[in-house]
Amino acid sequence: MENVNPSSPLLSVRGLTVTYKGVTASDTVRAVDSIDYDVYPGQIMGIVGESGCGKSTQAYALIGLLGGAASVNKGSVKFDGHELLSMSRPELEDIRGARIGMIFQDPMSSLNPAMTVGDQLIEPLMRHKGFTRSDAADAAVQMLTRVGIADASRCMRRYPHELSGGMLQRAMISMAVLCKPDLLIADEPTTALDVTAQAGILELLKELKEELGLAIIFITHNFGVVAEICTHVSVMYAGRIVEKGPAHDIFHSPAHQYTRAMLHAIPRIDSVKGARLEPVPGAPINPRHPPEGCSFHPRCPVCVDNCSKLRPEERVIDGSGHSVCCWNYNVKEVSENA
Amino acid sequence: MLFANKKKAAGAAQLINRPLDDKPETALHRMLRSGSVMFGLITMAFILFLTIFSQKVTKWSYLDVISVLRKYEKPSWEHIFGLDEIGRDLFSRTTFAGRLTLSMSAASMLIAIVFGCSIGLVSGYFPGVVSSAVMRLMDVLSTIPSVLLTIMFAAALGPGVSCVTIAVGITMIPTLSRFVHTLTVEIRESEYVVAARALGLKSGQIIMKHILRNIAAPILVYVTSMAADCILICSMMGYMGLAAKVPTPEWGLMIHAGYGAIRHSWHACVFPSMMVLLMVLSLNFLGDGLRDVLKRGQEDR
Repeated sequence: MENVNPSSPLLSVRGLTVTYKGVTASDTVRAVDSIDYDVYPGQIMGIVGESGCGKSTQAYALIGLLGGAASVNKGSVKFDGHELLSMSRPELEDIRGARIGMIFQDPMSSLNPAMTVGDQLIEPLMRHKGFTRSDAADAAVQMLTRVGIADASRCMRRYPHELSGGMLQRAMISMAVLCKPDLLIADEPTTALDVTAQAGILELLKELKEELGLAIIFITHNFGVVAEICTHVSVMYAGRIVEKGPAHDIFHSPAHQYTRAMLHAIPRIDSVKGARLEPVPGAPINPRHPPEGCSFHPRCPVCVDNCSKLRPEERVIDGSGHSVCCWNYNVKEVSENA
Repeated sequence: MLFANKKKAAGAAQLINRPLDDKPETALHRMLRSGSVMFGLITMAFILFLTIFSQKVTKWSYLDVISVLRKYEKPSWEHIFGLDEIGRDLFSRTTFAGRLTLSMSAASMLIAIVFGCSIGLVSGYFPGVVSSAVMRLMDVLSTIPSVLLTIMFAAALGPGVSCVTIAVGITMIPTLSRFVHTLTVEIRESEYVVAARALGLKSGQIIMKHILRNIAAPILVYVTSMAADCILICSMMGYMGLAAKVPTPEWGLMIHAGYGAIRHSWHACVFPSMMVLLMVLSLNFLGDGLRDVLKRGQEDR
């Protein structure tokens, strides 16, 4: 962490494209379609979008975890100046777990059911830092205590099925940050948990970010969670990032129609009693046959001619890094709404 | 039984994703309570005891001819299994013969386990052209009946105890590697293996620690049933005279020698056959029992 320059991006993604190959050429699905974003040290970047919009796929692609039919077609992923996509497998293995940690959606199934939590916790330390077994175990107990597990040494001897979901997610997080990574990728870490456990995990992630100087990529479909934790937000729709910027700007002056529709569809504590939520009209696109032009245009209330023909370019809204991909956007309208 | 690999695979496949029980003591307790596991273990232990201490429990040597004139003598208190075709004590020979048959089977099992598991694990974990090609080859080999395949390999390697052992081992590789491959492929895409990769663990570590551990239970069950096949095929090779040579005592060979006289002297053929039967039966009981015990361990959770 010490040697990372805070003014240059820790992770810089440019034109990343991932496709799932089908049996025939027409089955091929472009799950992630040339996305760009930067993550700076100390940021929590939220990546929000509905199911199947490619938010998890792009995260897996970053550190080469794609399996099966998925493959990265083009693009570049620079992590602290190193190009991750062109790295050999051993080089990438040295970075995964050591400098980039990852936590997953379902802690129950992301831990090996046949190994004790302790055995799994010490693995990355022994692998990356060359710790001996007992040193690694000491460090693991410390970290477990830090993430709020009361009886850490007993927890180490437990098997995953003997612990609760919240505890397991804490154990997963400590596993991911044990080697003091610079970047943590959190793939819907709170989706499988109840609201109380979720709040605890979010609080913990914020604390760890401060303590370890982590940058976090936080993938979720829950705008409430984003509001809670993220400093920056990228909104994904149909494999593309349609809007990105500081979290405050996204929430207070959403520029893209999809972002607005999403925000309208969330119940608010200050909304009038009995008022109905507005769902986003239409249905998610068929990824095999994405629409021409802007992929949101079939559902967009303010669609103009260009929208169905040309793909909108990214337009910068202001100096804070807020940008949007929309033909119909103009600065005035947003400021009126805000 | 010998060709029932499909059924066996289906049974053992129920254990996919089901690791060995967490607490060894409870798995052990369940085993002790399981009738078929205990029957299998006790029968097997009894035969192994007789085989190992064969020359200690009887005063007759397996090589000494008591009297050629008393050939095919019926069982009596003095010679409880009777005498064989040239008047040697059949109990002494039958129990001693287990040493060769069983060690041949054990050695061939070892060959099959080492190569079968490695091929299955590696080709399962690294999908690709090579892996597919190897698995198609294994598919082709497993369509050939195992006895035929063994004879083929034995013919290629030449007769003799060690060659037949290797041949039996090679014969067992295709079905086992196919089985391990299937289990591995299923575990490979599981979330905890992806998580282990995200921690930067090396492929070897992931295969040995994360995959093998989780498929150990079904492999154990499968291998137990496979051991029964091994013993059968080894005896069969002996029966055909491909393995041991007279006067070495070997179950298959002894069955063959007794078979010619079965009309007037049943015992010369029946007792060695009984040993093979009991051994195979005990292994099958053990395999079935283990499957139930390990499966139940999963359902309890």
